[in-house]
Amino acid sequence: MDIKKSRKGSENWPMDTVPFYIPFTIVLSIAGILFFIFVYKQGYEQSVIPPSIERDGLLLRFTESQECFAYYKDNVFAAHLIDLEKFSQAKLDSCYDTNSKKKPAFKISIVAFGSDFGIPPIATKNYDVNRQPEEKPAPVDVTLLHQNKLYRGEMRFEVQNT
Amino acid sequence: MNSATKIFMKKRGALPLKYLYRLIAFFVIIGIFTYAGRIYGSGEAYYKLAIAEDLALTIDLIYSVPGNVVYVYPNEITGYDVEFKDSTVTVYDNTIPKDPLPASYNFAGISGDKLDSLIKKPVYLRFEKTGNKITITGASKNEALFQGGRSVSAGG
Repeated sequence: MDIKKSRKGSENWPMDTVPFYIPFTIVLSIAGILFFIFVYKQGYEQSVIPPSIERDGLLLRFTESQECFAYYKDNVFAAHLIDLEKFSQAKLDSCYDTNSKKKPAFKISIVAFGSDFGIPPIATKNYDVNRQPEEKPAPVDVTLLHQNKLYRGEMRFEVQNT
Repeated sequence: MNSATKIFMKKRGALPLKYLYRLIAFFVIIGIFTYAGRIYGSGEAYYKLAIAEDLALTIDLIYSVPGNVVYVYPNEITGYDVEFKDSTVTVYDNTIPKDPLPASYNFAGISGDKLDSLIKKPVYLRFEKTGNKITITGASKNEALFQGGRSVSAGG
């Protein structure tokens, strides 16, 4: 059989013409992308940061940073002393400013022991309220400042995207 | 003759150009695949990604630390340019004109400080946080030897 022989069915897609090059380019691009993804996945684990390190590093921000909820007034700063005036959605959005679904997302609730007030939970912008949390790390003991009174309390976290 | 037929017509003068385009496309494709094979095979792609992840984690942690901080990233990063923009660290190979496979990783910034800088040809990187602002600059080897991997913190 002569493979060079032109057949009626192949005349719509002859080589060296635009109708040939368009699908050829698409197929080549897809093959290239698949190749890169395949090779990348083979060795990706070499460079992965253990998720708990990233999560725990980010958790510190909520208890120790004056940009978030830690007490800071008149140049006096106290880590682990949570100023409840600062515990708001707006403050959280400004001190954890990411919409990335690849970064850990947090829902934060505070429990004040021996108090009669409730504190509604807040969540970071990338937290999906329609999904269950993937992790609930151990709560962090904190001291709470509410209307010039100190309370013993706990900060609790629900984490997604770990 | 309709216009669709016209574009598929072969003209004699166009033939050498057609082969030239084909040759250029051939070298571009081969070049990209060879480059990708080399950097994935040698582990360079993963090193780039590890740098991007390290730097993103560094920024995440520096924002968590109260007060002012100076920190020098202790790994030498000669051969790479580093860009901090839109809450993403991107690491480029600077030994080629346009890196087709840069590595990037997100960090969680704060709304009061939008990082936007491209550090070209650094040897080491120096992070300095004053108040809530982080400044990132290239650092010398001496600075890295003196202070690499340690942070110096002072009250804010």
